[in-house]
Amino acid sequence: MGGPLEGIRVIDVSEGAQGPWGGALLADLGADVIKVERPVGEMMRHGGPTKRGMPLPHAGMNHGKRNIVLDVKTEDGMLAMLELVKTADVFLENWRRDVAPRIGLDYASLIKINPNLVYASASGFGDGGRYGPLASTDGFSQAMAGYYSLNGPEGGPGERPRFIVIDFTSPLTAVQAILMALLERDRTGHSQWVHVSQLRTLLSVGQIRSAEYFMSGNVPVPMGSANAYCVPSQGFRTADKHIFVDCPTEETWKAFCTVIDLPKLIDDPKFATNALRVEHRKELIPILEKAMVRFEGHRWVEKLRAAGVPASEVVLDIDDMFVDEQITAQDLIQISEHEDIGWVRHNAVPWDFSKTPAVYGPLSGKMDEHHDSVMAEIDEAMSAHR
Amino acid sequence: MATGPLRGMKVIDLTVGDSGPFIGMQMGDGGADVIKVEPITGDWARPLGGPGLFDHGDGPLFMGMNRNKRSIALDLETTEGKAIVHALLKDADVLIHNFPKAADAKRLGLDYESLEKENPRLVYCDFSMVGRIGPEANGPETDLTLQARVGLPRFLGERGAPPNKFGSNYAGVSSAMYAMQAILAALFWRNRSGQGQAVHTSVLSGMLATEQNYLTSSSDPDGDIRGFPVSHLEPPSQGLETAGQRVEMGFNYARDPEAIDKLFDWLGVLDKVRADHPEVASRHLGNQDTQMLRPYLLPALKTKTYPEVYDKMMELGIQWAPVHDYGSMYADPGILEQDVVRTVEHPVRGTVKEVSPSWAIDEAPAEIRLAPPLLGEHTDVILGEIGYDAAKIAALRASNVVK
Repeated sequence: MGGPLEGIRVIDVSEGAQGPWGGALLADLGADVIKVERPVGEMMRHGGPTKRGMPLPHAGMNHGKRNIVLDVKTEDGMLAMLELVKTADVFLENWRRDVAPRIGLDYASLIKINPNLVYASASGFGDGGRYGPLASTDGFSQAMAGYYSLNGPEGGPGERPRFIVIDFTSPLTAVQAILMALLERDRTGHSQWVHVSQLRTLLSVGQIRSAEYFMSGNVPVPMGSANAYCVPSQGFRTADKHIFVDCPTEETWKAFCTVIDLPKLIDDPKFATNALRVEHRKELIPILEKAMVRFEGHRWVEKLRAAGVPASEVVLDIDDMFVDEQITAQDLIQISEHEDIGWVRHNAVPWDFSKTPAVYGPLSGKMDEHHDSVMAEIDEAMSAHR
Repeated sequence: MATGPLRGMKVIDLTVGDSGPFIGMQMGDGGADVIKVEPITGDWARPLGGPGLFDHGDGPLFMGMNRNKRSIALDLETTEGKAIVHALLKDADVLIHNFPKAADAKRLGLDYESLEKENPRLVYCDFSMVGRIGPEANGPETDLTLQARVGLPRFLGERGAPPNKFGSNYAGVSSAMYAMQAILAALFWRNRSGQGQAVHTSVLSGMLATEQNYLTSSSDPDGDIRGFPVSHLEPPSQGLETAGQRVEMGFNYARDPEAIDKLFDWLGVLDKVRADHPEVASRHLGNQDTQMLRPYLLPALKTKTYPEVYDKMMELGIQWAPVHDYGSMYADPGILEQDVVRTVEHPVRGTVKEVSPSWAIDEAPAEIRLAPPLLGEHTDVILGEIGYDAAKIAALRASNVVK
């Protein structure tokens, strides 16, 4: 049995991370995803780190796809592209906003040759408007969407997480939108044009901080590891390292006080509810900090978790994740072999379907790797309607 | 009548807290009728707030993750409470839960094997924090502990300084997006095959997928990039200061090849850059290392006002962005014209602002029809829909089965 999207064909012309990771997820779900690449290779072909000359990020983000190189600036290349589109259910692009109409691969043109097409546009700052034409990459979208302002040490100006925050999240909303459009197409039979942007996805990511701003009028500011609406919920220095502790409920707060041997705090009226603890944060936190430096981090984590208080050591080295027993017990990090690249470590598919398993497909290797099989299908399709 | 692509679908959402509720909210944005089945005491996220953050008991975590749902409050541990949930599930399309313990679903009679018999078309989503097997499957977890577990703090702050978290529930939200994909894909297959199925996913598995680039990139690279992900090897980026507003600028791309030169000329430092760096004297400054240009850029930018910088950057088409906080962002006409904020009527707070759904589907637009519900706001209506009359509802209320 294939995945839930078996029988769905996706033409993926996207580049970078925002589109390609979305295409890879559709492949994990069972779709036949054909990545069409420019002759010079998409942008991630030219980045690192590499292994045996192959860019590792590209290999992972384009797994499960077939790869063909087409030059749509040539007549033959464009003809092949349009034949592919005719056989497709989904067309996924994340070009700059002026590209698709200029080269004739825009929604209006493609639905003329395939009226059932789901056309997915993944942009930076939307399809129109004054910011629409701006080139967007992860850091710029984080800046634009206010994400810097949520992060970094308390009292600081805010900073960009050195994590590809939005390029790995906007593909998720793209896949959601594509799947909903496929459901809608099955219902109405019409083509669909779906739009996602890094801007709006990043606002969804920060949704609770917007709620905070809309409710209070207070502009969210960086708080280190702490939380504007929950106390205690933050990192604490212990005898040897920092750990994170969270007390989102009164039960966890009481258990925390008991574990750290400060049961009198439970009965202190100043700290009787979360709202009061938020109000008296400045008074409460130093008391807790003083208590937490008495033992080593792993001892606190063990005691707190046993008492039902969410607590964790802080992973600062990626190698520690590879030996995390909760991760290894579920094989959430896996290793695949590729004939050109050798072994590559990657995530497991994040879903376990009971009837239509999702499968992490082969890593992406050379450009034009599946030229023959895709071209044969195009030729077959062309001769069929000749 | 909802307009979204999930209109007509019924979702029973048993999730609470800081991760799971986002799934149902997005289903609701897509047009589904989402029934939030809450404990009598309410979702634990409700009371999280503080001065200025709530005026009727529900804080920003709840308000940010529960719109487009109706709420029924009931005691799942009672026979009558169980009967209500089973009646709701009879014609439901989707069930989502994030019970804290692996054994909870079975104990409550809400495991997939039991429900499949009653409703073979049901799509069942078990969204746990760290998965249902493994040594810590039943441990206490929140978004904060998950962020620590998957190493997000290594992407923030200075090396050796106290670790930071991502300033939103990033682990919860991004993994909830993965969970919704699984539900949608299962619905797509269900509509074709007639069969529902179960999907198990977790915040942990979703976050590892979100970190996929770092996993693949750690696969023995050729170069000396063992430190990738770069994490603490780079200084944090905070943007460039102008008079009044930080901005980010990138010099690798511009529509006009001379754009960067024009910018530096406007800032009055082009000649100085060229004099100090003979290698670019006869070339355009585009594609130059930003670090090399920063010492010239920073002092010059401080002499310009933000409106001046804005106009110049838009004119030249250089890659750039304002470094917004939520105050300046929600006042920026260029942001607001992207349909990012909508309003909805809340029963206590009146008209409230909401962030728009994160996608747009032209023929089936997402909508915000309902504000985050009060606890049990729709208990009577929902019970009425499954055939409970007023007398019966009153009796259930009196015996604390529903609220």
